Amino acid sequence: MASDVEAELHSYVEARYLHLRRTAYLLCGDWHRAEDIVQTTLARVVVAARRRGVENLDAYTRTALARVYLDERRRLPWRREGPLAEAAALPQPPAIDQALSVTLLAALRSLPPRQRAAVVLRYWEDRSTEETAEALGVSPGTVKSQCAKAMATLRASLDGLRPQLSLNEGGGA
Amino acid sequence: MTGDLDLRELLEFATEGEPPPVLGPAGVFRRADAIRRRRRVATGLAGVATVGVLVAAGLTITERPGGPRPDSDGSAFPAGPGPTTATSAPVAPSVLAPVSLLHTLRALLPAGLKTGKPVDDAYMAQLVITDGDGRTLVEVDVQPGYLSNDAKTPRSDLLDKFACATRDMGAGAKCSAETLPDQTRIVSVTGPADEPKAPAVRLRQIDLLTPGGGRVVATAWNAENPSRGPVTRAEPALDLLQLRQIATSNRWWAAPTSGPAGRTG
Repeated sequence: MASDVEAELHSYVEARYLHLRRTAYLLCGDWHRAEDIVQTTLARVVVAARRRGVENLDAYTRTALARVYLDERRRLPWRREGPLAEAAALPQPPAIDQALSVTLLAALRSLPPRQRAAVVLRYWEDRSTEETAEALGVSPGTVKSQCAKAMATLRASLDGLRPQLSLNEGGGA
Repeated sequence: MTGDLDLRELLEFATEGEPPPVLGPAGVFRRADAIRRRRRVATGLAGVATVGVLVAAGLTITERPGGPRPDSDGSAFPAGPGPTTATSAPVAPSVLAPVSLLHTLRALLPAGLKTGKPVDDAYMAQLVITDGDGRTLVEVDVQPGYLSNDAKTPRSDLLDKFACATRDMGAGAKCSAETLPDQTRIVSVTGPADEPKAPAVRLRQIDLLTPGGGRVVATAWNAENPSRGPVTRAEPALDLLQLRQIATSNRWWAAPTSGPAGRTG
């Protein structure tokens, strides 16, 4: 029933909106652009679900988000540099070294877009290699190599700040 | 802080202190509704069409051979380069011709194609075409009140589709935009169809906005089912020139005077 679809969509968007905005922020490094990316993504999802139904909303949304982000990067190349000052100005939890967080964001921004998207989907969204590959439209092997290169870059950045630290990959199915 | 750091924890920390959302979930549905309204220019269109015919009947409009009918004075959006061919001040809405879109689409397709699996509704027509190299889909979406039926969406957002810099397209798509002397706007797009379940599907598309605020989107894919694939050939069966001839035909629109418009061919 259409009303069931609408109710499901409203519940889904309400439940996932903030998390998706954080995901988009990790991708683009700007909260305003992150919200724009999420609005575009979820509007596409809603239109698709209303029009022809979407079997797996999460998977569809992940794919749409990755494509909206990558597409925006291509269409708007002058937006490539995220505002680092904004990250530095954000309030940080007291137990965490602010420099570490800022360094991580800067390191993320230094990654090529597809590597960044692979890292965010794998380790922030906690998606499997296969799910990440599907969202990015590449093979699982490509995701593995992109994540490996990205992790090496991130480790190098964080090791430069705190040589005694080592970065593990934590989650990621 | 010593020892291993979990990447996910670090990413969590990096998103701390986020500002509150500006648009929020409600904005998503407003945007989606705007898209839906544009796609389904539905109830109320008959009234708009009637008014449009009456208004159009009172205007003096010059027919421009070979291009879209100049059914307004071009004041519907900011003027572009070149002279306008119409002279009246009010804008005459673009009104659908009183024939089925499918009938018109069939008439406008290049000769020699086999067609099948037709889909026909009030504002959209689809045909699967076969030219010997694979079955592919062609679609025409005609929106008579594109600029006037969606009161909630800013006009600038509606016009964003007619500039390559602001148009929402698949990654890697090639786009060109132009404004004809009569102020008709045309955007040509070639590239991936941006379908999550069928990433190999490509499209060619002509998106046209008449001076009267009507829109025609003519699209050809390289698959019979663009949303699921599989692709049947490397590129769509129709090229941009053929699509342009379809989109710019005046057969989609009712004549500005009473009587049958745009013959069906």
